Amino acid sequence: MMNKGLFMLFKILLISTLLLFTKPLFAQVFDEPTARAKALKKCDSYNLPKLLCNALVTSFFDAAIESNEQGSLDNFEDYLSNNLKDNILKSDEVLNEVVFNSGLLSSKLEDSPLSLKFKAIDVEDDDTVMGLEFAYNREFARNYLNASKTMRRYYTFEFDVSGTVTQKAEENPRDFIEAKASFLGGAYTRIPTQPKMVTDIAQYYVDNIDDEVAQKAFWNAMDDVTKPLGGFTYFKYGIEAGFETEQDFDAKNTVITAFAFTQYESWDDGTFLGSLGLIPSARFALDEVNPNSETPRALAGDNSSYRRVSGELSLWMPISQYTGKSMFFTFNYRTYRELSANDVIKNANLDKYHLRTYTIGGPSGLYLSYTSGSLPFDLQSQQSVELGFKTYF
Amino acid sequence: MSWSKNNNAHKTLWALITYFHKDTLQGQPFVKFADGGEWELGLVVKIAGNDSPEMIKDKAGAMATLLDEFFTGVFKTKYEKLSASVDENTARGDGIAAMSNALAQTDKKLKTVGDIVDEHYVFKGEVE
Repeated sequence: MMNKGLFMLFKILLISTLLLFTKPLFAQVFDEPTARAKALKKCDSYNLPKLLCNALVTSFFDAAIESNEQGSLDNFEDYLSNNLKDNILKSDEVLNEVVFNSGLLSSKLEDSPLSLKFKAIDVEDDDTVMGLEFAYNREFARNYLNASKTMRRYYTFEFDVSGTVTQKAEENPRDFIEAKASFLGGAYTRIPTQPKMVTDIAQYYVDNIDDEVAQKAFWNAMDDVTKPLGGFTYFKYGIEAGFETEQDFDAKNTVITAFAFTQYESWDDGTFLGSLGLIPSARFALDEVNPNSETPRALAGDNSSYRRVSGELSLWMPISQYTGKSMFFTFNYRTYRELSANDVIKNANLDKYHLRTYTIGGPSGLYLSYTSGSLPFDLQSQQSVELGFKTYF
Repeated sequence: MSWSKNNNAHKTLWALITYFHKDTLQGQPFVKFADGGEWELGLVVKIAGNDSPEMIKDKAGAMATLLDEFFTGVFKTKYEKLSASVDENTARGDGIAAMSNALAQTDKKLKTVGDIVDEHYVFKGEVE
């Protein structure tokens, strides 16, 4: 499969090269919109990642137009080179599709605790650098305690490493790597083994997966399973020990964290949560942070350990019954506070933050989002952990 | 990465996701299995805007746990990796952890989880 893909890639590059050497003919017969549409359509039939094929075709035709606008194809090669760089080498979407989502590596990573992803990161001057996000998450054998009829309880150990690296550490605005070992415990609602009749109804829907009537019968049968249980309770807690560092491993925080997470989904339409379909989730954490002597915080004269607390509330609610369309409303509230922060941190207003985000979305994506408050340095949520590190050490 | 109507693991996964999202789906144009595979995992796991990475991971864990409970309690699936050295609790933990890791990749599609489910559970018509 890959060989055919590489062959097609070679074929496209060969055609591009041939066209470079047949400039006069190219200029005479070139009907750009038709040729572009035809080439893009051909991408459907090539055994090549479609995103890559589209990027190659787009780069080629854009280069042709750009050079044609100058009345000469002399700079075609430069334009093509720049477009290929922008559309492929600087596109995390294309690189992820080519490297991680298709071919051999995709199947190797699919059931692996390791995840890898290219990420185009905005830097100053409207430029971007390509970063590689990595995460390794390995849960060791889970041990279940004596199961009751309604709940399962377990404990386990977990190891996590995650971060973002770029070719040059100084170019990395998300210069943050985290590694931690965790002891985790949890409890959750148990679904009792169902009688054969229920399994048969469920299996009938699976066997007729695009049958609307079978789906309704399945939903009704599942309602009969879930209603007596009241709802799904999920609780998780843990203690984590690890470190946060930068790509060059000079500055380092050791961190010990205690946390708890809970989620509840009501399956009883007679309750407030059940009638709205509202699913609340909450998470609390307390960190003890010890910076080393290379951290900016220590270099500024404060290498003492400190504590920080964080809390997060997340709500998800369907609103299809009000809008007539498949839509949902979400709310997220995050708060963060450094305990006993010194005056420098307090005066800079960096000892606490609150962030509220309201969104309305649907299966096709996000419709509306409103955020108030900010994270430190006004950076956004995906960088919050990095922020905690960069701001406070 | 496949998403096939010939695969009971994929179809059972979609069947349960429709139930977990029935409040969003009912009264709307019917969503077919093939289109369900294109659902983003952020939607599947019910992620809110600006959820932290830790919150996303924990929500993915809750969804993976819920799937495991319905697979075994309703569909009576067995664990694929059961052996003399792997007991049911270990296999359950492995299945939940694998699904949890996959579901936490919220920018990916539901179809990326199908084969992972298939690797950890034995569905109707499969040989243990």
